[in-house]
Amino acid sequence: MTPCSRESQVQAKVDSLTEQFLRRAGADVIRLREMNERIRHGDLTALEEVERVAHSIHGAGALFGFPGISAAGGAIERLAEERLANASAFSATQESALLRQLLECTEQLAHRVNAAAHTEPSSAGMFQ
Amino acid sequence: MSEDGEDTTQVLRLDLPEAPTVLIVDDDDLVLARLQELVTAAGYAVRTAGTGEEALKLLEKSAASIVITDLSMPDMNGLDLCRRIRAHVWPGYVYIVLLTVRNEEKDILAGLDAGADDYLSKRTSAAQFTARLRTAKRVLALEYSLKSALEKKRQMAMTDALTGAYNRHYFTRHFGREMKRAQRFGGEVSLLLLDVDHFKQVNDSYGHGVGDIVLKRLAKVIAKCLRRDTDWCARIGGEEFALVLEGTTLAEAGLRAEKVRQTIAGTSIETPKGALHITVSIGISGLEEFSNREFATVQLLLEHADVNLYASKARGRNCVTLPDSNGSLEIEEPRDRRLKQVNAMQGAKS
Repeated sequence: MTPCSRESQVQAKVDSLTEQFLRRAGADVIRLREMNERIRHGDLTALEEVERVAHSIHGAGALFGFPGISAAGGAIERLAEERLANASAFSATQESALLRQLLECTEQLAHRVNAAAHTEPSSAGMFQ
Repeated sequence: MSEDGEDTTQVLRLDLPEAPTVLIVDDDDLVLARLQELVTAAGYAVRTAGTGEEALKLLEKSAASIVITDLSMPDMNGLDLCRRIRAHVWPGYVYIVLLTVRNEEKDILAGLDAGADDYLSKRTSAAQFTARLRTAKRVLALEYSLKSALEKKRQMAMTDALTGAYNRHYFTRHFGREMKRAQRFGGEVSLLLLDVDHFKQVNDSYGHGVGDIVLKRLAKVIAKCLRRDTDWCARIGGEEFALVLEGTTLAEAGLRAEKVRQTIAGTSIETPKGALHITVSIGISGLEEFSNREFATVQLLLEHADVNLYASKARGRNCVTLPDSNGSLEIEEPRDRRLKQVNAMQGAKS
């Protein structure tokens, strides 16, 4: 195999993984919206799953060269982490503020995932 | 400076015999796939694990020398994995890279304290990531070079530089161990003491260079006559070799000694001064001689074999002498017998 054909094979694999990542991020946005809804109805157990999904977006977004997506995932992860670490210390006002922030960050994430589907990854990630 | 003139402070050739295997640990399949692609393209063998436990199992089955692990994983996180890897003894050093999106000072410090060698952000470029892998490879190559140098020194400490046979120090230590093992658990050990006949004449007539060639060739011929797993040979004096035969009775030792003697006598040794033929005299001793095996020592067996070697010299050389066949020897007997024999054959040995 020539170096050129090897390179194009690697690039094809990279492109395919990027597509998979963006598809998965789109699905994650839908899941986050569902979990936010559960939290709005008082089911705080959904926070753990929010943290896990957001962490995955945070890490994979950075690795795949989508810093905006990564940052939005990181923001959601921090919100969930903070709430889980202070389970009993949150007042009703704080709960309400938390939910509002979660909803905002999730929509920001949705916007960035949508925009990323139409743009090239940044040169900051490992795909470059 | 070592004996062969090599400067041992300059042995650090930074090459590994083969590309290191990299184990990538992450609970995200896509991240694993991407990293696998990147690391494979950089020329490394790659294995992947989705959890810390799986990573440890893979390491135990077949060690990888570089581990790249995520920090936040369910069940066992990257810090715990680092600690578990460091708590275990592996065949070689395991270079650990923590690869995470968390890059606050406290996270980095916790990672390095847990035993990671490097800490990388998932935002790192592919170019920097592969450069860090090359750093890991350099560290592993350094470790490999140091281990190779140590192994070389260990070999040098127990082998004779001229012939490559074990040296006297090794003989004393290991023969003693084998004797003790046989005394404790049963079984025989026999010792053949072999001396080149008229070796002084070889040196005097052809020079020490030719003498060295003869000794080197002799060691090879002896090695070929030994059983690979249980017998071994040491050069314990100028032209004197000790052959240790585990699990061998005196009668069997006699047959083996005769084979060694005949093989050497039938070998033509090529030297710059022409082909030479040498003969050897052999004396034998063994645990079997002792009615009370507990009294046998390395020194006594050496003395017994030496007495029998003298006897071979006295009988005209190029022959083998076994201990007396008419019963076991008492431990005081060899000394008396040796004195008598030495007196009787003054000057016989050369």
